Amino acid sequence: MLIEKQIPNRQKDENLVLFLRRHPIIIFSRWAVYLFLGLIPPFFYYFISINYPDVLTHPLGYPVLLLLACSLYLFIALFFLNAFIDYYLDVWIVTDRRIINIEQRGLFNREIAEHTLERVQDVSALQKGIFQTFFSYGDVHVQTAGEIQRFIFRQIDNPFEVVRVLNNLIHKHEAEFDNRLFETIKDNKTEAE
Amino acid sequence: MIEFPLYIILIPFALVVILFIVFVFFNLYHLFGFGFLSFYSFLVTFLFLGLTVLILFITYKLAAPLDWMQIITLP
Repeated sequence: MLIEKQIPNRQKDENLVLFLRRHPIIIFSRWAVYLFLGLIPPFFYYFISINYPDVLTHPLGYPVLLLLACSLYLFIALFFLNAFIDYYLDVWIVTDRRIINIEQRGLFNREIAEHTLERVQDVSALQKGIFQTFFSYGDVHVQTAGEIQRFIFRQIDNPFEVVRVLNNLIHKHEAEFDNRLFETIKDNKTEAE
Repeated sequence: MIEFPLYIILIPFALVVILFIVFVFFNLYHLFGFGFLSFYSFLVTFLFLGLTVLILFITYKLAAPLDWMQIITLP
């Protein structure tokens, strides 16, 4: 288990810049669907009691309906937990050196990938549709030179701000690299003289 | 004509509950095995466990007065 907002395999002097998950609206919308599913048994009971009252007085009818309703509610509770886990285990971490992509796909597939900032070639944000525009969430695409060529930060809050932060980090990193290179060349030149 | 005691319908219900427990185990294993230790992970786990206990308690309260030994006759 990891501690919240702690960098996995943290390197020396590495600092956390962004710790991202999907926008909370994603999990709340899934929970709303399950809440709606939970309203089915009372409405169904009301419908049966009005139209088919004999079913409820039958010695088998009421127990069967009761156990079916209980089973449905148990699985709604399970879906509620599963939606949270699906939301909670997808994490994108940006540090001042790396981008770490942790994604849970279903119950048995988990993918962890990371890239150093030097490998990032292009960063772009995509916000489409009325919901994404209204709630200000969307995808951030990070194009890298590695084997996994594209990281997608899915449905994250404020994607354009994330792109701005990432671009600033990459430029800062490039400037530091240039400075180091310049210093090395300068030192080599001094030694040669 | 088919005759059977009412408690027979508790067998498929027990299978559903076992399936539920298996999935809960996998979910909680993922949450605490790969997840991040935080207030929210504990809050949601306790909410889920509370909801499960509540569902089972209400079901028990509604099911307890029924005569599960009675013989059901289907034509």
